[in-house]
Amino acid sequence: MKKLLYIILFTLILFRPLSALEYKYVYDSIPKQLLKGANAVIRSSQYTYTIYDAEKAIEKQKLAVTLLNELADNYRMIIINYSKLSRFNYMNARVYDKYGKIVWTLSKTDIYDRSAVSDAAIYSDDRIKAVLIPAFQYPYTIECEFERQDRTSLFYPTHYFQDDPSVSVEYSGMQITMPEGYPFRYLEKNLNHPVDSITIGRETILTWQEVNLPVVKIRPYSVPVEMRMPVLYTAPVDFVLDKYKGNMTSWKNFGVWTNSLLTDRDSLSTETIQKVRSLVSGITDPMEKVRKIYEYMQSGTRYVAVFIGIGGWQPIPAYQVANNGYGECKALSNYMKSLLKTVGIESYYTLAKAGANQDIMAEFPSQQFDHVILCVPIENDTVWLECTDQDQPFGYLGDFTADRQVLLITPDGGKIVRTPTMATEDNHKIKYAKIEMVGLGDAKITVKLNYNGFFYDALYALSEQGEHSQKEWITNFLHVNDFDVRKINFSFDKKIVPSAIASMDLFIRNIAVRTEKRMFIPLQGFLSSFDFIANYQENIKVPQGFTSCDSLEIILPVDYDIEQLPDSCQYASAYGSYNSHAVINKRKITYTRKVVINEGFYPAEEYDDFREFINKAAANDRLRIILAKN
Amino acid sequence: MMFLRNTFLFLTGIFLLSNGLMGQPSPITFGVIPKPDLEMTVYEPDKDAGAVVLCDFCDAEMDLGNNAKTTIKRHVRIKILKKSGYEYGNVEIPFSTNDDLLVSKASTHNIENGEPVETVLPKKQMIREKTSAYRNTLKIAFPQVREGSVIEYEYELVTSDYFEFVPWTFEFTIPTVYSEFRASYPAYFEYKITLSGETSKIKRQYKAERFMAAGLSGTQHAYQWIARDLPAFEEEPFLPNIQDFLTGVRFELSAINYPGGGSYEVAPTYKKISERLLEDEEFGTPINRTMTFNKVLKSLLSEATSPLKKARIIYDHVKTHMHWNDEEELFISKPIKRSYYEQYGNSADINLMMISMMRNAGIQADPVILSTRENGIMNPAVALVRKLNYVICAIQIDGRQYLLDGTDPVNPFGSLPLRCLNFQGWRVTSTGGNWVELRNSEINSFSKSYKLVPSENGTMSSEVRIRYDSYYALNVRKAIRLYGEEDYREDLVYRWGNIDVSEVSIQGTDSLDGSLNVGFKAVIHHHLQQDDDLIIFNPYEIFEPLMNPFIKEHRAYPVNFGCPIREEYTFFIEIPDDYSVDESPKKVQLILPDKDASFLQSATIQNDILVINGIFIIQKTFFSTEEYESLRQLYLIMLRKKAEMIVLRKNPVNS
Repeated sequence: MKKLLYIILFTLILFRPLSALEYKYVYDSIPKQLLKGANAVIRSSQYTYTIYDAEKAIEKQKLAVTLLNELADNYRMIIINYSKLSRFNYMNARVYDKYGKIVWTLSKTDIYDRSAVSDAAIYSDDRIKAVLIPAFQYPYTIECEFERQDRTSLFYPTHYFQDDPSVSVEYSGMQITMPEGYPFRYLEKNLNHPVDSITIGRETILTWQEVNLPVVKIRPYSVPVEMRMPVLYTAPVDFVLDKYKGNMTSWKNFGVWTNSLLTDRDSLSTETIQKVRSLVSGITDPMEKVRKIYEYMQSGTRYVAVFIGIGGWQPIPAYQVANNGYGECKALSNYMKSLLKTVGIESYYTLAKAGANQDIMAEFPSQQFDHVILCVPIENDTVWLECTDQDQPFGYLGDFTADRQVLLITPDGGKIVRTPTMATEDNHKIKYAKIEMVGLGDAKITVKLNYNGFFYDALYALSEQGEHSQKEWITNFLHVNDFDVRKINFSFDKKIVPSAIASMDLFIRNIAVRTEKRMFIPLQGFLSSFDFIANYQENIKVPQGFTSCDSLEIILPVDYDIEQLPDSCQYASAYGSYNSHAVINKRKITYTRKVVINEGFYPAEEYDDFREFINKAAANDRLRIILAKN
Repeated sequence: MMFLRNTFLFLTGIFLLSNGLMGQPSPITFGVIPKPDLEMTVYEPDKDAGAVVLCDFCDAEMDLGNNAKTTIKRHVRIKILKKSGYEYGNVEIPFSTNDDLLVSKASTHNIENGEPVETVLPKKQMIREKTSAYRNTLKIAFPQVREGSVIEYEYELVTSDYFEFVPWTFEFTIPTVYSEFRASYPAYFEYKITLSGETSKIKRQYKAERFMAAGLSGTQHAYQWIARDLPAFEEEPFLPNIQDFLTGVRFELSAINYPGGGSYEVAPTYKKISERLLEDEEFGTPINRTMTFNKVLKSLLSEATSPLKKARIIYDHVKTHMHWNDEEELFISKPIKRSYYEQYGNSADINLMMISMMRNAGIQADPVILSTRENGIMNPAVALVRKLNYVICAIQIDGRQYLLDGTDPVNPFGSLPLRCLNFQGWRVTSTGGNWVELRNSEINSFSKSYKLVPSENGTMSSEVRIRYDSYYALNVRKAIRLYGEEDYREDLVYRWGNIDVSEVSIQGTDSLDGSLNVGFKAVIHHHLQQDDDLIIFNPYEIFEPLMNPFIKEHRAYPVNFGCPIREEYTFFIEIPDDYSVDESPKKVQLILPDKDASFLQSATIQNDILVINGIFIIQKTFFSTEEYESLRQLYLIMLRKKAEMIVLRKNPVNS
């Protein structure tokens, strides 16, 4: 009984409207440890979600944030998305100065309404209500409140109690109200305080709250913030999107529902069917058939997103993709699946959370996906296809979707599997440069770069750029200021571990630094070098292992002899290994250097060792070959 | 801008006429693609181009018979060459909600099995988006776009904006083979026409035609401009106002001559504009009412005696009392008394308030109207109120002029924000006014001095003193104000992975005037290259990389630094015992003609201390494309000199 009373008081006090108080959000009342390093402080964030049934829920958010500097100015732009599935009800906003006096109040005419089209889509019928709050002298506090009504239960909220690592939080609360006995699920991650649950009358109220969260600094080799900050995931048991009903308690069931969105969306014209069949006639190897059809799909389509109705969740029919020659990830994956089906090859529409180092929480079935790829199970050798990129090597996923858990939508429902990763030795860079010194410190240079695995994308992107951008890239890459590009060629081997080669002939003026008696040839630019890291003393995460091999041939100018060569340098540890040495053969120096960096997670106690490993490599790469006039 | 609006209601009411004068046909016909264009695989003049504009044709005609509305007919044809050009297969046509979009067509042309094939985009797949309350967008995603496709679209738009007739740009981010713009309008409308960019590439034709409509007749100006083979334009660093330099045609309404006689000057002279502004309720009225803040000023200025002292008090009061809302404006948004009460406003609310206060205190204060750097350069020949977007305060004390802006509380007295440093502005006075050079003594200036003690154990200890002046001081003060002094220190401590920083001191934060000094101690690891005999290092590269901001050998657009630059480095290098200087950087004197820019370096040894001093100065703020080469060379030679190494050699042992 005592606990119950406590909870009631707590709940009522925290969520009681505070407008009765005269001065709110006084700057001086912010705890000092929350100001340190912060661009803004969330004074109070109150998120309430009231579920009535699977087709009605009211979301209400009230946020008060004190802006400390211009890096927090994004809070001045309040954007509220709405659509046919989520109706906008109202919004209010006010601004308080540092003493807590109201200096601005939102009037209806300040709110504008516009299309929500982003870079990802050319058209969407989603819209936004937006307000740009005027700027005031820092610090000042923006208080904003809005309400939306959801007509689907597919997207129960995921709540980040601290949504920006550079913004500290004084108080952040989440409260979900539902009819007593309403089936509902949640998952807590990194929370400091557990849920409070209470049933009053016929309503169950769940409350979570986090207080005094300081800013989180992101540094090189930091553990990703998503793995550190408090998050609450919520999900329904049974749900509805438009007229499509489903159950989310297992991935299998979620897959059954996704399948229902795909039903009858795979028909193609006889013309297309014939084209595909003739394309693979005579080919027996199923892998080769898939490759041919994938290349056909790539050459005839491009990525264009148009979201109308529930088009954000359901692919447009395959025949329509064929007619237009474009679509987004769902449409193109479904189109590819339909093409394969015409020649009897089965494939699975696959949901993924895209982006470097992203993954889903597999233990909590819910809508966590934002991308679709295609999985083609071929005996002994499953192929994964990214269908939105016309240049993607066949079977290569890149760091956008590789090495993570994804949901296969099979005829029997959903199934979680892992996409393949590339090993440290697959992700490698080989660099060869021949540096022929001419004249007074100039050099004729031949560079050959061979980038494999995840590094492939960087060279491919470079090949697509114009002359000036390529020159800019070389400037930063080789650390050179004044040069001509005499020739530049690229070639690509688009296999599952793809490989890219760039060959360049350059003429670099004053690559060497010349003094009266000496010449200094820098090597740093020709080695895939590191930045020094500072003494942060925190946990370390190296998300991706790789290998880098560099070899240089330096042909010396006639009037100079070697005065000093970098010594051989070799060391190895759990973090990787470093090997470099130079060989002199008459007027030629051959310098080789190999670095292996392992994927890994290391505790803060090892920080000094890890730092020494990286900084030693960085220092050795910065040495110069020193020549003396003969 | 009240005085412009009413006149036009009257004017549009008169012309209910009809008129049959139409332009000549388009140089290309929709759906008829020459074979070479379809077969092209690479655009020879620019082999990297992902797409190329084959033809961009626009015919804009203002018709008195249709309420002086302008009909714009546009026909664009683009060749897609590479996948990187696919983005040009998605077209957006924005138009005002007051405009009518009449016709639109879109097709993709490909070669399939050796035959040309046209895929027409069905009308219903062209999406009209209600983008906002004022703007609609027609969105076209062309079907079947591949490498080699030719896409084309056509539309007709009727607009009623006659202030700025149709602005035309010949250049795109992809090359253009042919671009033609035709403009025709009744001579009742007088436009000042400005060509910009590579004007030598624009061919012009003019014909005076007659129009007759419902009892009125007159001259119809008919222009045609054609440009061929324009390269793709790229943005370049140090140029905030690229729009002033793109190849194009702009029209500015300067006057309207009424059919029945009489005329209204829209863009007369700056003198005339001054007269009008001083009568405007949103500009002149607030500054003429000098008693508005009498009470406030009485208590503020009670102790002040000299005019300069008074001016400083008013300036400090305005900029700390008022909060700028980031809006750059020439006119006030609300009565200045209300702004004062609400404590926030746009730049005109703040600066016109300051003028009113200065005048109350008996100081000669006038508005200076201007265009900010991003808004483009103020055209001395075309006096157009709507091309201006800012007003500052100019005061005269003891024969000296101070230009003041109250939008930034950190700005010191007599210093303008960088956005205002745009050559010249017009001082608005009751006698008409005069040009004012938009600069007090603003400069980007720092002086960094380093004591360096290299040692045989491979580390180097250092004491660092940095003096920031003018804009650099302003920026550091801003950073400290925003993040707090503690965070600023912490940032210094962690800035370099190989340098241990300690004892950070910051001086000059208590005042906005004068220099700001930062000092710290440092232990530098991993920088010396050494063996048994030699210690070798470069001093400039310890704390900052040597970067060349001008990679391009030729520049398409000028360089605009905004204000002068002065950067000084001094290194005091203690030569370790038993070592002597074997080599060190040499004396250098690089000076561009008229001292537009220079780099001077000296190296001397005094009492076992090697002193290297390098001073880089940019005196001139604007370098044309012709002057670019010498500016770039100065940077390159300076970087080369700064990259030179210091070699210390162990003395031979005396036995």
